[in-house]
This record gives sequence, C-alpha cells and structure tokens, in this order.
Amino acid sequence: MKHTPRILTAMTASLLLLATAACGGPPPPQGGSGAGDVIVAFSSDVDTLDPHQFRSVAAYGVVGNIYGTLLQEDYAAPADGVLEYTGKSAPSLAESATWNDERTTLTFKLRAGVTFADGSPITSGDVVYSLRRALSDVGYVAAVGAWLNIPDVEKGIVAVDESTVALHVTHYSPLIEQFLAFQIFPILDESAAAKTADDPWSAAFFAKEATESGPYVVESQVKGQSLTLRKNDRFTAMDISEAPGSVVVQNLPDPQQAFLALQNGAVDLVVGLTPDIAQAVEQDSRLKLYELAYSDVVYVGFNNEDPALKDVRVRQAISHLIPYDTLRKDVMKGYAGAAYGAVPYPMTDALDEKGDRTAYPTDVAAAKKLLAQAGIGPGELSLTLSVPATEVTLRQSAVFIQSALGQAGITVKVNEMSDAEFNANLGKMQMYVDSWYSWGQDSVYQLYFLLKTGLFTNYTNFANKDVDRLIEKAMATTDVNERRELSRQAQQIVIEQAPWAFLFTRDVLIGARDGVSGITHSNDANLRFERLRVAK
Amino acid sequence: MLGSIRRRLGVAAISIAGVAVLIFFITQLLPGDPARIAAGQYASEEQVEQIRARYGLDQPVLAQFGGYLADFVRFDLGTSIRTDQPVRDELLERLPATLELGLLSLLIAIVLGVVLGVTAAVCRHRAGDKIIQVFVILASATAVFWVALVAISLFVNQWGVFTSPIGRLPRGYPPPSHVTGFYVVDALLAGDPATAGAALRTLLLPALLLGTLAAPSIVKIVRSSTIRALESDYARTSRSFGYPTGSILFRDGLRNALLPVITNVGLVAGFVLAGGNVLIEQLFAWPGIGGYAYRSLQENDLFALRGYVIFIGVAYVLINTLLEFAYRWADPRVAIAEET
Repeated sequence: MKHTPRILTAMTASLLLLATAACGGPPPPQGGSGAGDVIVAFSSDVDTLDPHQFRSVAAYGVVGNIYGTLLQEDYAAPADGVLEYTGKSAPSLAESATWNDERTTLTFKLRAGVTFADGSPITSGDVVYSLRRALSDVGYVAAVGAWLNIPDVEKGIVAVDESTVALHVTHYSPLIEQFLAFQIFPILDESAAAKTADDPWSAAFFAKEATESGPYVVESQVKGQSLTLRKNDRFTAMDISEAPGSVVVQNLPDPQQAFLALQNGAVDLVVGLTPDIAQAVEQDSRLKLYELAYSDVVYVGFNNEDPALKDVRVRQAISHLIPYDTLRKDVMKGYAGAAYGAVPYPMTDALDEKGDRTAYPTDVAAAKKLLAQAGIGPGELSLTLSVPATEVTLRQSAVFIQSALGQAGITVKVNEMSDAEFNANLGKMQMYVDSWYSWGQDSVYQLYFLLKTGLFTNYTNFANKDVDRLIEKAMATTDVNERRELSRQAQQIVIEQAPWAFLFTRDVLIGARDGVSGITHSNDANLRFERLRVAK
Repeated sequence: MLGSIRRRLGVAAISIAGVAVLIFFITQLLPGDPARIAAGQYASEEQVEQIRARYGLDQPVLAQFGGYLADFVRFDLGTSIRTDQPVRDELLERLPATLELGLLSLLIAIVLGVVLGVTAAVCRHRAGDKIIQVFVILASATAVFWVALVAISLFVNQWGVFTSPIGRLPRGYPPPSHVTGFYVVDALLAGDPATAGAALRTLLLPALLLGTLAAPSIVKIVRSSTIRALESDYARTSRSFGYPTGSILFRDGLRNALLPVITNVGLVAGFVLAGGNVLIEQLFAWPGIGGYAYRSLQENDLFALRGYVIFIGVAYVLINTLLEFAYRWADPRVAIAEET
C-alpha cells in the first residue's frame, strides 16, 4: 500500500523521461548523406524477389534493378531531369542481337566477362534457363512471353555455345526485342537455385534469394519497411560509376505521409503520387514534380452481355454523358490526357497521334436522342457502377459519372468494393471503372488482352468477329506498316461499338527533392536506379 | 491455488480452440478468390486451378478445415499467397516492431489514464475535471489518420521535435544487431546510444499517439472508481481519523480504484496491439504485424490474414488469462472466494 504513490511517481517520471529523451539530443540527421545515397518511396512493400512472381510496384523496382537483361531500353540524353525512351533496344548483358535473313532466329552473343554478383560467370545455360523459366507456369510472365512467338521453349530457346543463345520464333514481331528489354526477362543463376520435384523452378528460393546480374545487389531488408540495394561492383555491362552507391526502396503506404517525408528530406523520391499530392509538390519550391505521360487508360467498362447494355446506342449514349473535361480537371487535377478509344495516345499506332481527341464528346442532347432511339425514356434505366474503393481517382470519377448520367434520367448506384472483391468480380459486373496499362504501349497487345473475344482479361465480354480477325492478322504479320493499318481498323470498330467509355489516361507522377534527376520515362514505367543522379 | 491455475489455463486452451474454429469459418466468408488474386490478372484459368490445388483451396471445406486444424496444432499458419513465405515466420519477424510500439503505447496509456483519472476524480465537477472530460471526448472521437498526419506535420516537419516516420529508424541509421528485436534495447546492448536515441525518437511519436488514443477508457474507469472509493465508508473513516488527503487518495482511493483498471488494461492492450496499431503502423510506415494485416486484407491474402487473426486471438486470450492472475494477486478476496 505504501508503494502506490512511489509506483505512480515512477510511472509519471518514466513518461517524462521518455519525452525528454526524445525531444532532447542532437537534431536528427535528415536528408543528405546517410546509409542510402538515394531513398525511393513506393506505396507498397517488396512482396517477393522473384522476377516472375512479383505483384507490388516496389518489388518490380527492386527486381528490375538487381537483375540484368540481354537487351535494355535505349534512352536519349537527359532533358530537364528525364531520360526519354527512344523506342529502340540497346545491348546490355548481350553484346549483340542478330536476326537471320528470314527473321526467324534471333541470336544473342553474351558480353565477354559478364558475371553474377558472386563472381560466377553468366553462361548461355543461365540465359536458356532464365528465359524458359519466364515462359513457364511459375508466374504470370508467360502471358506476356507468349508474344515472343516461341511456342516450344525446348526447341525455341537453345544454347549454341557457352556464350551464344538462339531464339527460334515462328515469325518476326517488333515486340520481341522490345519485350526482351523488359526486366521481367532477367538472367538468373541456374546453379544457385535449389530445385525439387515439387518446385522445379525454385520458386521458394527465388522468392527470398537473389542471384543478382544487374547494377545493384540486395544488401539488407527490413520486411514491410525497406530494402537496401548496393551498387554491384561486378556489373560490367554498362558504366555505372556515377550511379548512386546505394538505393533504399522505402515503403510509405500513406500518400500524405510520403509527401511530408519528401518535404522534410527523409526520402528523395516518391513514386506514384496522387493528383492532390502532385499539386502540393508543384507548389513547394524545394521539390520537383516529374509528370510522365503514359497510356494508362481509365475507362468505364460496360458488360456487353448485360441486357441493359447490349444495345450499342445505350453504350454510346452513356459515353456522351461522361464529363471528360471535368474528370481530367477536377479529379486528375490536369495530370491526365485524353483517351481516344481503347488505344489512347501515346501508344504505338494510336489513332490519336497528339492526345487531344475524344471519341464521344460530352453532349447531353445527343445522349438523350440515342436513348430515345433505343426505346429508353427518362427514369427507365438503372445501373450499378462498381469501383475499387482504394483507388481514389477511380472512386471520385464514379461520383462525377453518377451525377452526369442523372442528367439523362439514368439512375446509377455506385458500388465501392474492396480490391479483392472487385478483382474477383471482373467480367461479371454490370458497369465498372477500372484502369489498364500495357507494358510496351503496343496497340495490338492492348487490343488482344482487353477486347479479343473470350479472353480472360476481356472483362466487358466484348465480342466482335471483325475485331478478332484484325487482331489475329496484326499478330501474324511481320510487316510493320500492315500491322499499324490492321490495328487502326480494329481501333475504329471498337470506338464505334463503345464497349467502354474511354475516360482519360493517367500520367505517372513522381515527386523528387530538388536536385534529384535521371528519371527514366521507360516503357514499363520502372525507374532505372543506375540512371538516378543526386546533386550534392 | 494450483487447481485455479489449471482451471484458468484450461479455459484459455478452450478459448483458443474456439477462436481457431471461428476464424476458419469467418475467413471462408471473405469476398474474392484468393487463387485468382495470387495468379494475377494475366493468369489463365489453368494457372488459377494449379494455384488452387497448391494451396488446397480446391478441397471441400471440411477437408480444408481438417488440414487447417492439423496445421494449427503445429502452429503452422500456412504460406502467404502474396509473398510465398510461411505466415508464421513473417508474423514473428514483424512481431518485435509491434510489441515495441504496443508496449510503450500501453505504458503511456496507463500512466496518462491513471494520472488524468485521479486528477479528474480529485477535481470532480471543477475546471480540471471538465478539461479532462473534453480531452476524453476529443481523444475518443478524433479520427486516427487525421491526428497522425497533423502530428507528423507539426512535430516533424514544422518543429523538428521528432524524426520523420519512415520506419523504425530515421534516415542514416542502420538497424542494430538483432538480440531482442526491440531497436532501443538492441542498440543499447550493442553500446550504441546514438542509434538507441534515434530509435526512441522515431518510436515516441506513434507511441504517444496510440497511447493517447487508448487512454480515455482508462481515464473514465479510474475517475469513476476513484470517486467511488473516496466516497466509501473506509475513506470517510480515514478522514475522520485525520489522515492527510494524499494518504487517503493513494492508500484508500487509488489502490481500490486500480482493480477495475486491471480488467480494462486487457482491452487497452488488445487495442494497442491489434486494433489501433493497424492504422498507426500504416500511417507511420511501421513494419509490424498491423501493417502486414492491412496489406493482407487489401490483397485478400487468405492465409496471411487468417494467421494474423489467430495470432491476435491467441494473444488476447493469453493477455486476459494473465490479467486474471493479476486481478487475483491484487484483490485477495477473489482468491479467497475461489478457494472457499
């Protein structure tokens, strides 16, 4: 009993002591040098180190920089801190890539002396293993890899000698070299991987171990918080002497908190800002906003099998009711482009070559007329618009669309869903707001995945024989000009059929401390850390 | 005594078994197909089926339940769909971060709750009491994310009192060698007071917030039970004997008031370790099990989520069992009543 006051005093004193300890002492060393030369913040953590199984953007940031590829994207000289992709591939671990005359065999010659980070040589066997693994069922890369036109990996990917690999393809496609520069086709060390009968592609091993062949190696990881990369001294495929000595990939899930961390110098770069935060970055003179245009299309998907949306005039009417300018201005704060069809600018072969066209300009009168032609009067159409609750811009867009459709007497119920529920219901929802970005920004690739009849990623159940035929022909041709023409014909049909309302394209927004440059405007929207530069 | 301990441990074991069964069937009701999510949007139906078979999701529910119970007994919580790593290992790896934050928050909540509760009781119906009541209402009603962001903006960006919350250490400090997993302790053990101080500065802001948000229920209970104790016959008798006010307050008032507080601490511990910490860890990029649970929920990582809930369920049962022992120790009447 006598101890009670003492206990209370001790508790109070301990609280005060903690507060004093925290408030006192030298100011924290924020900004400038430290354990990491550059800290890059993502809104996700690194879920796995497997380059064929990653799901988070942060994980791609890591695997894309620790593994080397045969080819790499070629960039123009930096302009205003940004390195623009030239549309060409350049040698990387391979010193050359040569097509035969028939363009059915692509031969890679490995650069002399290239090694993994542990010093073991990179051989043609490693290349064969890595490419076959990418095209296996171990991850989802196989779906992308199908565009390499190698139906049989045993016969199609072969080692010619210790440093030469040949890819035998059914036919040439401009996407082959482009895709092989993507960091989902990295070179792994086969000898380091522990194979078992249950795990022939060593998924358990590669999920947490890295056999680095790229410009960085994994130094340490605090799960859920950060992963530190150190420059790979054994990487000789390019000159990385000016690259940051270390890069910390930081998980900052909350966008406002990420902005505050950028402001106070705790991080150097924040990847994937929301439009609100991007505006705040622009208003801070110590920060710089990198606004990179991509064809990340945001759209309202109409379930083309739904009785209420089967009639093309209804879909066109809804498309006419969308307030496109308002969405770009008020939801995206101007960090968005126009989406003319399912293949928007700046995709290769897009119908819109400048990014300023709208397929169905906002026109309430035209919408009402189309609805009347479809036999639908005011108040007779009720729809449900589903949207993933975690996507702020999509959620806000849904509210604007709900209001706009009300002008023509269409009642819309907005159904906010968890990501998991939303993804599980893709293909079944009546109407939904979603986005899609195709690596490579290739029109045929985009049309194939999103609009080919019966394909599992054709979430609107759109079915059009003419579009299917054009896509198939475009995939089969080796003539680039013919491919473009076929793609454009398909795009035009899609616009007329309006399987979606094409809302806008989202820019990738990166906030940086002043003095941070070397942002790669890459085709796969991934930063190349070795190109980053920090002014001291 | 021994019989009582056995009885309580038996009840705890039954509770844990009940929690395990309940969690299995609740997680079955989660929306979304974990196999489809694991496979990714590019995966074909064949690949989705392979994943379903790999995780046993193609089995009938009862068969899944049998496997789940067998794994549960071995404390095998399955493999995360998101990371392909054992859930138990991932939780254990993140547990020290949550415990470090949770325990300090709990300490802050208890100290704050007791100090403010006693003060409110002593100043009953006067200005001090009213100010504390306002604090209680504000702390209970204010949104965590808003307070956290305002706190970061003011205490970190404006005034530089705390370090920027980008995890458990500020920029420039490597983690100390792992001994306990508590950075402050490990840094001190390694003879590195600078890192210990940095870790404490990083820890304190989220802990203060979490502790402050958890304190109101303790304040209310301490206030009401202290008032009751001070109005009791024994307190009145003490006063009539001329004992000083301080002595009556601490000897008669607070000691008796602490009994319901012990019960309440169990709930508060649950809040700081498994409720409030989810958002706080998310906002402060704190790499604990709360943030892990948040991401698992977002991505419908069935096994990770189930593992987290089991972890927390077991922790709750154990905390409450310990508190029952503490209650018994603090109030001998409980033990006497049980033994008679």
